[in-house]
Amino acid sequence: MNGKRYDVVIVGAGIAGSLVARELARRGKSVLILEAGPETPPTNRETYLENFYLAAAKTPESPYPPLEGSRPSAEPAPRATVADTFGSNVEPGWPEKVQSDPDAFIYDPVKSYLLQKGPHPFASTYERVAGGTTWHWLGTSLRFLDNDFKMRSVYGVERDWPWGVDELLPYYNAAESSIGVAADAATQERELGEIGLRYAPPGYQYPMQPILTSLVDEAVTGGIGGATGFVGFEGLGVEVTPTPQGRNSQPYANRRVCAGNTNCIPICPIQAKYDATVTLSEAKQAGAELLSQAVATRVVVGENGAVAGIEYLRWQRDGSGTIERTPGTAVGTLYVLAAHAIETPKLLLMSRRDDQGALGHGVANSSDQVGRNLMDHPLYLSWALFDDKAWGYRGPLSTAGVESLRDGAFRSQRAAWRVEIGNEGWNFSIGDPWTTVGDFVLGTNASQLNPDTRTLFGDALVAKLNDVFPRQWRMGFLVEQTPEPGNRVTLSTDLPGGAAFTDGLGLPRPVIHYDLSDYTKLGFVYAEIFARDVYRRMGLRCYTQNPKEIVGRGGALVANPTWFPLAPEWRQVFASLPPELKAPEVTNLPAAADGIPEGFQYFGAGHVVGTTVIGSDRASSVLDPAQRSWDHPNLFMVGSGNFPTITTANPTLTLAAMALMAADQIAKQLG
Amino acid sequence: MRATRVTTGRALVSCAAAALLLAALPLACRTRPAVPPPPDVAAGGGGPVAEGTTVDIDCGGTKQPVTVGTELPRLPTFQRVITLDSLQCDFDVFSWNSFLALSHGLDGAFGDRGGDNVTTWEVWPNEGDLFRPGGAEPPEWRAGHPPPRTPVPAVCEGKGRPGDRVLTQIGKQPLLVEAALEPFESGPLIDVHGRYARFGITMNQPFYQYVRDHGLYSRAGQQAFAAGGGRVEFPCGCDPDPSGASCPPDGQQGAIMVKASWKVLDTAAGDDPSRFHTTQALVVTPATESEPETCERQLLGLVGLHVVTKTQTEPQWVWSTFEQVDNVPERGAEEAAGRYNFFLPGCTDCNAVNEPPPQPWDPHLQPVRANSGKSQVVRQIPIPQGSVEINEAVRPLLAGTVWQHYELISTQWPTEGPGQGEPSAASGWCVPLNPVDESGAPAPAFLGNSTLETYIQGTVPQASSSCINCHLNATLAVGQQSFSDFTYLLERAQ
Amino acid sequence: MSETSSSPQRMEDFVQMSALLTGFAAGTIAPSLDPVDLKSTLFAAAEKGAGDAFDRLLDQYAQLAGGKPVSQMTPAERQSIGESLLGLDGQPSDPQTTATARSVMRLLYLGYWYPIDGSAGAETVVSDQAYVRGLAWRAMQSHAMGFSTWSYGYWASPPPPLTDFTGNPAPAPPADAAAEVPAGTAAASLPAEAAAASTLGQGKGGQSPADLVGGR
Repeated sequence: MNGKRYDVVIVGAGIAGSLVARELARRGKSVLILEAGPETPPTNRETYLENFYLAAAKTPESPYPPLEGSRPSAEPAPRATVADTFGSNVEPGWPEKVQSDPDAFIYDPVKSYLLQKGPHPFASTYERVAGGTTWHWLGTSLRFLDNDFKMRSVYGVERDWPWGVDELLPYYNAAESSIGVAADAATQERELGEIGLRYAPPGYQYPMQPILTSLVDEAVTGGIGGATGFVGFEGLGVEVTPTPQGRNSQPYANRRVCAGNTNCIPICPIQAKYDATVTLSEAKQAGAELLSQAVATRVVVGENGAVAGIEYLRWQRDGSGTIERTPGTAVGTLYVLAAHAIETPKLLLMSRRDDQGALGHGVANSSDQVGRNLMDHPLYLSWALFDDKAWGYRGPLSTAGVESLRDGAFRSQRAAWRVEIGNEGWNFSIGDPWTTVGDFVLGTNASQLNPDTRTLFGDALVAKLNDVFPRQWRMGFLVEQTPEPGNRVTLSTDLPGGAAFTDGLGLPRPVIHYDLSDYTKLGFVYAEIFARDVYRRMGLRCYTQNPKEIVGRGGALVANPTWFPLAPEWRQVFASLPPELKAPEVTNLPAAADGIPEGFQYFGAGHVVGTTVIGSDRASSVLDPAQRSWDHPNLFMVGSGNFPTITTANPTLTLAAMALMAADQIAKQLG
Repeated sequence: MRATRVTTGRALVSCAAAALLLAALPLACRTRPAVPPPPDVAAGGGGPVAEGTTVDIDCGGTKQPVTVGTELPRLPTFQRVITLDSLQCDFDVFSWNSFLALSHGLDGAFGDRGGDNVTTWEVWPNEGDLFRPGGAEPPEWRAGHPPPRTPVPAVCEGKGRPGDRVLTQIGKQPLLVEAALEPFESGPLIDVHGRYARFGITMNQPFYQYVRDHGLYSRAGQQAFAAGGGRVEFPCGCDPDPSGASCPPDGQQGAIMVKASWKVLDTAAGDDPSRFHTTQALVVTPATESEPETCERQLLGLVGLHVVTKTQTEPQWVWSTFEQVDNVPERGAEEAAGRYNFFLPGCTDCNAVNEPPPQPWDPHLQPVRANSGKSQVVRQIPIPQGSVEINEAVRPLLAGTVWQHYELISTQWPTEGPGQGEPSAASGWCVPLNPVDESGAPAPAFLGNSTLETYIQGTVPQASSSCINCHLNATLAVGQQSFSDFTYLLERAQ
Repeated sequence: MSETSSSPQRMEDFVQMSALLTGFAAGTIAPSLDPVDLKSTLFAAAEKGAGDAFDRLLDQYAQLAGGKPVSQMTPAERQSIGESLLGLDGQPSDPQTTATARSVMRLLYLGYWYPIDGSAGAETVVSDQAYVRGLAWRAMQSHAMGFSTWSYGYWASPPPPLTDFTGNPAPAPPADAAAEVPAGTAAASLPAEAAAASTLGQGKGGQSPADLVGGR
């Protein structure tokens, strides 16, 4: 920029990029951040919050630009959205078309930024604005467990990390301070120390006292807290553990205390929940410069193999909405890519030069691993009605979970998970209160709560809604997904019709190949059985649905892209269950099904992981243990793309810790 | 729509609409001075304004006096006919009477020094006096003059001057101003001369003593208070009840917080100190990455003032806000030739309107480089017509003093404030909050001061400035039962 | 729009009709001290969205109510008027006005206007205040997601009673007992229907989570 040479050039102003920028700026380094999306004034969330209030579909992306209805081909910084995955974007016969036509995708490419080749869709999304996806993260700040770092050596599956939890512990502490995490370490250690949760030094305390748990948590704790004997978890007990959360339980960092707006996703109205604009502001106060609306287009590699600059397009819209673009090159001593796990590999792949030998696969890609091992937590939702009012729809979206089953010998066979206990009734599950209100006003039964399809009004309507809403509850199982080389990000320009699938700057769009492994799918089987047992023990009525078909484009029924069938060899797992775990009350299946489900539906957890994994072997990883490219000594990457495995924990705290770790390394390398 | 019948069957008369229909509604929302505007000369007790001068405001049929005097109202006086507009008028009258009483000196001075005077609220303790380093116990303030101030920070030692009016008038120490950012770090306010606005808070004796009596001045004390099931309930203003059933026989003054915003007066650049209430203050600028802490003695002019009073009928407090009249234009009414404190007509390279200056913010670098950080501020929501009319009625009373250059922006109050329950001594003679909506459905729904909530002046629920909605989120520094009764001050405890 | 739209009587009819259909007190829908004036926003939205059908619906309500406030009606009177407005009484009815009555109910409950022709995906949020003050949230004794009216930790204690939220006395037993299934019995009696619903409703059920709120 203006010929200035920076110590560090960073691509991406989300949490990872902002943390690195802040750390280096505070150590006196000159820092430039390129951000693809618009900048927001510090803490001013009026516009985004108004977008949320006025959005008909209150999706995670609904507050943020570009707004729903815009076309990815016309946007300078489009991104994946939940709205992309609506049934109305799915054509009948899509499974065959996606296979036979190289330019066919699961979701209509006119609406969906990601070009999804399947066989199943990647269901998670991210933002391209200053502050990044933390604008709508939940705030869950779990540490990884001891064995999460050594799945290959302990369980013979997945990958090992090049280092273990001990190396990360000091950075976990620093990340918890940067974010502002509320929890009680003694409680966490008491309930989860046995499965490998670690703190150091002894007596470590979180920055804030724990967030008060909800009445829903209390009811669940009363039902299953301390229980044992769950199918597939022999020898393990269930604890309902208050979740360490990046939201204020007391005034912290000049931000307010959580007021329970029950809206962490899509947007906390009062910034009681941390988001990366907090760190970005600190970085700017320390002197880091932010160039917003600057989309990195190429990592330029010099003759010596070192990165020599990052080309970008600065964009503006003129009065008529036309995009004006101005090219530039940012030059620094070191470079850090922090554009999240889909845009970072896209940039590396876009930077390839066929005439440059080693760069034929793209920058930093001598291993051919860039873009591979894309992961998420495929989310299994299970929902039910309490007998008594448990008072959901109040407090933060989630304040506790079942963490005690996140590790065990079973991980040699199948995926582990954690259970997020929802405080928002069936909002996520079926779109309530909209769906149920619609049912009782229109006389329909989309919610399954109006089987007689009655229309109610007046006192009867109030009484009915007051009866059902406070009894609604859901669990979300975050199932660990295996790293698979075939789950990958490639470029639209490699497709036969590639030129048709570019963004508003004429840049390629990500093509996604994605599937779930049997190891991961088997995790769903035991999630379903666990849910049934919870309902049985607590006397709840299950309402979970796993629809094989959904309403697609034009109102036709189409195959549900996020549904997968139960493998025949797993039928026996269900068939052998005791009768009380096959009853319609706990399965929501017809009695004739004998408790055997046809298949499962998954959701995205918003956890975009893998694609630039670290490792101890340059042939099978993109980055070395210091999160530096094996190929280019002055190129670092930060973010959840670096994870070799996803584990069962929400990724933000760990990626923040790793970004702080990388900042130390970068500072050292700068000297 | 001139009038609307609603479910209670009471007629509601819109004040703003009535203003357009004065001929039809001669009594509604009109103001009428009870005495002719006083001459612009010194009168009475040495000042230019006769003490006790009154103007009657017609609040929808009943006259409400605004008085130049030292008597602080404990409660608003309500009308027989209750409408949104008559109540707003009652609260606005309460705001003006509070402002006028607090703008007097402790000794009753009012405009007697070249039209200015040291005010009562400036003599009150500030945050640092109550929330002391290490959570030390502040001295008692039982009655009479406020307790002595804490010593100035080391960086300010020797900066004050013996001849300073401030030093002679305010106990042992001068006013100390530290805050340079608006709430929640939304950014600094920088005037047209490139200087940072400053902010400070003081509180009255009932507030101060409540905090002291309940040990809330330290984190340890707050922890103990919360753990013991305590709920913060500042005392409420109430009128004497001889039976002692609803209020002490002598009545009670409620807790008051005053938050002031100041600008540096730069006479060389054209600021006219005679249009401001001024003070010589020691202005501390905290250390930054590159600069050490500094302290400078500066002439400051008052540009904004919140007066927040807890009353028996308004457990959400009454939020009165005033500004110096030259601050900013209203949106759409920017005068090309106008001179404003925080708006530069025709400026082509100021900050975007109502957006904070770019970071890094560096209060050590003042004035900021030309046009690289000046705030360009407009008032997003016009001053309500009813408040404008009261301001016009009161202004003539204040001729000859600096106080004529201040205006009420509005008063925010809860339309559905109280819940079920009777006041009692145990609750500070307050009534409980509305249990369904603890904000009490404030009117107006949004209210901000252009110098104190500069960058959040919109109408977006939760995000835009609403005094009561925001302060409902205020808590103690620690503890799980931590609602702090609408004040963020308790966060400051160490 | 028309002169009738601004008439106080028309507004009063709208508020009273809304009270009858929603089960909330008129004073909750339109407080006597009303700094937000949501009723005018809602009235305008219904008028814009349903046009003449909204006028006819108000005419019908005014005729049925005969000037009697809802709070003074007997349960039987309320039941009879509501069934007429919604076309549930077995009498010939105007499909446009009955659809408008349903859209008005959802307008009050959710702050959205759903077109009366039933076109899917065409609903819009009327205003920020209409959303945050939707009655659905009060029916669950809570607040709109994104608009807490309480402070830290409220979620660890039960809410105030329902009557505080509706402004009405505790509801009398419904005219038709089947309209309110006591807690617990719903679960016991549902398996067969729910199973049928899960087959019939697969499309809707599968789509609604993502389409209405989305994954996260």
